[in-house]
Amino acid sequence: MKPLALTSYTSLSAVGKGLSSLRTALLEERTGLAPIDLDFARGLDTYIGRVNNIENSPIVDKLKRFDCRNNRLAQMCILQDGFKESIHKAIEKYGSNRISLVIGTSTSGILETELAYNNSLLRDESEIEFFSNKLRYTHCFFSPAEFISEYFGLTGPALTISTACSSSAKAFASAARHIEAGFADAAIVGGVDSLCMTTLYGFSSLNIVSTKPCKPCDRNRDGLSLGEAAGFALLEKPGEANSGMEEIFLSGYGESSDAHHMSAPHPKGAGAELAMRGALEMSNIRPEDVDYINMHGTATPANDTIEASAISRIFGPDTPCSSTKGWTGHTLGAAGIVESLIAVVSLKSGIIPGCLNMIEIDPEIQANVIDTTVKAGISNVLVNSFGFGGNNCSLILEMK
Amino acid sequence: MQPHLGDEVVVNFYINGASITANGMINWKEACEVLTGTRNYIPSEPEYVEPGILPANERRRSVKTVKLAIQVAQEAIINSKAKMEDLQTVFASSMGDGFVMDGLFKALCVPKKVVLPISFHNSVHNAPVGYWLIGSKCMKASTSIACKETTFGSALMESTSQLSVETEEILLVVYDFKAPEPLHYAMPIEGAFATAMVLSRKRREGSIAFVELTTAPNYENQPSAMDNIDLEAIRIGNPAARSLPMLFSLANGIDNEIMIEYTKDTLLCLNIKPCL
Repeated sequence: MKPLALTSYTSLSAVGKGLSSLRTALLEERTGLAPIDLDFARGLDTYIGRVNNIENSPIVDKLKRFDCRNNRLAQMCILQDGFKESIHKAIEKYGSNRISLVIGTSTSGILETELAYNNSLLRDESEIEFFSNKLRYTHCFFSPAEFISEYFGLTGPALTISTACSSSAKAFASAARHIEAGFADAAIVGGVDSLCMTTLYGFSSLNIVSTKPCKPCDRNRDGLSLGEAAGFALLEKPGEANSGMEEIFLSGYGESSDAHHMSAPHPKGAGAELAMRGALEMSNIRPEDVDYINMHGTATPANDTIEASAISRIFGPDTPCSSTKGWTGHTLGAAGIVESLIAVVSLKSGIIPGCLNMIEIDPEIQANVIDTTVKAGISNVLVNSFGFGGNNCSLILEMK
Repeated sequence: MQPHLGDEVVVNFYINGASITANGMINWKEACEVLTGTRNYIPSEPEYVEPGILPANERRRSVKTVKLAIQVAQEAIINSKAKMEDLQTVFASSMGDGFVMDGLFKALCVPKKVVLPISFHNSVHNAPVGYWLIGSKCMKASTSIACKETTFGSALMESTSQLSVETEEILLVVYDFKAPEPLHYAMPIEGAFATAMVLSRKRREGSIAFVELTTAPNYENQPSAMDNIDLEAIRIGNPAARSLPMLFSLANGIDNEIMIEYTKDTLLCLNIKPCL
């Protein structure tokens, strides 16, 4: 592919609003994980990466029908880092129909339906009507894409990708194809997933949720911590954006499938390896050109060892790696973009984030997982996102 | 803002095989009879066949969406003589599995909120493609998308973008069915409809049709409707069935120009020509 410039971007997660808070949290090694304190999920013993103030940030006026935790998170996010203004400018420049919108989410606004079932809202006719209208615009998988599309008055291709934890990484791949195929001149890539009962109780049912803050790559890791987050980026062809804004590029992606199991990764990480090799090939760089790997690193016993073995096979024992889920928790469909933006912050600030909460590296891991954030001039970062159903995506971000 | 003029998208591709499983049409052969008018449409429930390509464990765990999606995927693969392990895949569904969701939501109403791992697995939007990949042993890229009423049009474009940029041949699978109440009331999708097609960039042995696809503004065009009232009701009632005008052209083997919903202000205009 021809590299695409990331010309505007922002993220919102448990470690803070916007990229400067994210940068500070990475430098100070301050986690966003805290004991669960959600009204709708009592009785669970775990840590979560919760975004503050969602409850006080409703969607109002003509977009009110989209109001739900997930779309609120998206709305709060686009108001940061001048992102909204950048999109308005892009619409002026390209036309509302020539910007593609690709959003990754695993559960969209499913919490609305969970609460409706729980509150037995279906007791009289007027409440049925209320329930119905809410669902079509909130729970529906397309909801975040439709909301953002209406928010900005976009009329080009609009798509929700829902491949669980790889959703928003794959959104980059789809958006890049839309531009390369000529369907659009620019693209908005997003990811948004919010805490809900389905994932909190669902992952608990698989016995892969830790009762402590998650410890990726640690020898005593015992599961993930869930988080909520949103992230957005504007992709433009190089030479199209305002000068000075073109520093960070998406230079390649690799997508693959495990063809193995619905929730367990391929035992040898064969799918993960294919995705990483695909991204390297598309970027036309060698493994030794990659300066940092942001791992999927969920902190489940199975994932981290298998992912690290696939990394070692390609990159050998030296390339610095870490999972940043110790900061944000596993933000599922938003993880791909949030971690890509962590990569962007790392590139721009000249740092490599450590594997927060890892105390002692798992002796089975041969990859160079670093335990503390360090200063380092870096140019290429590989970001891994692997999802349920054996769905893998790796991205390469480059700073020029 | 008005759309820029002269920005219509043009993509050409070939169709190598198609399939349908829906109310009154259990397979492609039966669907062709209904679509060509040689058989009356009778709105019977489709059969949900056990997916023979799955290992025993996955077969036992498979639910309605999985069965429907795999059924059409397999038939399209057979009809197009493609190798299933070689094809990138685009799966799409507006709603996912309403029965699994309903079961999950009911479980979340009980104080202990005990979710069965299998319900959680099957509630994930990409569960059907996950099962398909296990069954087909395919390690290529796969995706799972959702776009409400424009799900079929968007999935078709997602497939053609992959054909344009990175692969020679691709499997497209789109499915939706009626959810139980109250989900059905909230998201009114009617009946059951699933279709799959194998598309390629170049003509190959067995190609059945050539498609020239352009985008057209919807203020001067309408989506194509079905002449048959029953089939038109299916098309309107189920996002996956927005594919019917395209499948009608294939079944009848005719030159045809049809319009399908795509974005807020554009339709897809498909100029379909049989490969003779």
